[in-house]
Amino acid sequence: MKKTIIEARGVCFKYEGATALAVDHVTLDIAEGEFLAILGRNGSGKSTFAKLLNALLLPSEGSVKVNGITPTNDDDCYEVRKSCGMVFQNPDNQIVTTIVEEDCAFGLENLGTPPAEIRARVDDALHSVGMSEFALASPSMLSGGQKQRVAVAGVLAMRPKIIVFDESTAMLDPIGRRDVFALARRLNVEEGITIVWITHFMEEAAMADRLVIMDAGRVAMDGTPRDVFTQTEKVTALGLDVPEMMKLTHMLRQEGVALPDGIMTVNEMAVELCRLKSNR
Amino acid sequence: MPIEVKSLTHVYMPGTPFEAKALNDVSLSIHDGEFIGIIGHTGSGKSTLISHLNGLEHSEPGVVFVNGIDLGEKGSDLIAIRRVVGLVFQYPEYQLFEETVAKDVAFGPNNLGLDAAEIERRVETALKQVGLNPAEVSEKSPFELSGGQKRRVAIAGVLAMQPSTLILDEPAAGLDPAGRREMFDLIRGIHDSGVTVVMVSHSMDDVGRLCDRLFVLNKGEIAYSGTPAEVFLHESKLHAIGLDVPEGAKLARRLRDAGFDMPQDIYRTEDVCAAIIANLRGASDDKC
Repeated sequence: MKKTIIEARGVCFKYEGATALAVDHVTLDIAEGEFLAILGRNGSGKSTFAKLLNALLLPSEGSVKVNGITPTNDDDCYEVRKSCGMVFQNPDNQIVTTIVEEDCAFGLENLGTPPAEIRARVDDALHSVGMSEFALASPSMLSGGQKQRVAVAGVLAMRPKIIVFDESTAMLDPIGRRDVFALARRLNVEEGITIVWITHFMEEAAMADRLVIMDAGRVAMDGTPRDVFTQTEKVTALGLDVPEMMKLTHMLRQEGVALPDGIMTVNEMAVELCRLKSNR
Repeated sequence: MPIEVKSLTHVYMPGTPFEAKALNDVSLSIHDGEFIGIIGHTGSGKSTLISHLNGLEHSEPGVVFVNGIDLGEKGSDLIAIRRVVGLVFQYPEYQLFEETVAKDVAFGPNNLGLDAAEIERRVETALKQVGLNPAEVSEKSPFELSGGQKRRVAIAGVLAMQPSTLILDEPAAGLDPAGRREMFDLIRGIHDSGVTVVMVSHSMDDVGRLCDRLFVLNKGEIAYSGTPAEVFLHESKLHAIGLDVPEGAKLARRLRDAGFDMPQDIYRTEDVCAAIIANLRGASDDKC
């Protein structure tokens, strides 16, 4: 049994002046080393939930325990933010300096880390995201995907156990998206960092270990992507898309084609259809 | 023919170390009433190209023509051109600035010097065109609205100029799936009302579903053009330049290779479904 690294218990959050809860009694355990995707339409509470994970917001009811700490005061919040880093949507909103490596060092400098240690960690982090050759470049000359990788490096330099990506690929082109997703995947597999991947793109969610769908501040569905997407009608009713091959499975079945559950990729579909054709 | 581009080349910061050729010898024409998709990844020259189509970027004489007017010619009335060719930038909601939705949408028509009644009529029509209820939103601050609604208001501001061609740069960026569907329905409605539409996108799925004709840009040049079906036949080459074809096109190709009888020009999931069923039924008939 894997250790639970994030433990959300009956978490609620309401924005000032709002009538409805943005996050409504969410109970969720995230295991250490898990790659969890969260999908949900605009306003479903995904981003609010993300901010509750690294103590940018504190729950109005319930609790969030992150890496053993349930933050109640400022010191706890800083500890939580050290273990749970966050990458936001707009790369331009999270880069604060004019040189790439200075940006990565920003968090460590604020913690008063010794210079030699900063040097080593920043070099490491930039190497890890494949941006070493841009260490002395100006962020303004980078593409969106490269800026997001720099933002990830800044988080990595803090040596977090968890990284929350809050729609970090929404503003990127397909190549940038692929790059940043692959980076998160690699950090998860090779360095064992727990990933919470919030997205609108079901193609990305389909590649996670586990998928949670949020709706109106609550957890509406929770399971492997295959199990969740198999419930095509329910997912569509929540305002979301399912992988194209799952839609096709649904259409073919209505025409009487006997396909099994859980076909997600073109490859799987082609294999199934060839089998059906040769059996006839 | 409203838009014609002949051998357009564009170099940013020429003569500096940052010199970059954004467009290289691009030629294309867009006919009245078409729904055109321009696709390519960041740095492929899409944005530079559309900025030329309404004279935001300066071109040499004899290169870019709109309704027969040469935009590079000295003394061309570029303001008149921008009235005919409306441009909706990426994340247009960041450009909203007025106190109320009605005032924001009225900003363009106001500058045309139209009379108050005409402006009011145009604001109302434009808001309806983007699926907003004028009575409900007109007097609200644009900043009270949701992200998707703000974007609609920004598009209404361009429609209030009554352009005959509408260019949209990534109109669905950042929206959730339901929001994307609504946005595309809305654009389809604008196209159906007789407006020529040019849509810039990263998504082959989206342009495949909506557009009559595509231009694929790569490194400042047109790599492929034609109907979506024609373009999607270049699956492996598109993949090499970082673009994907729709899943339906991929499956059709796989099945064709495996001996299924699949028409060359299908990529929509519905069409692929129908072709598969024809194949499976055909196979069982053979046995009977």
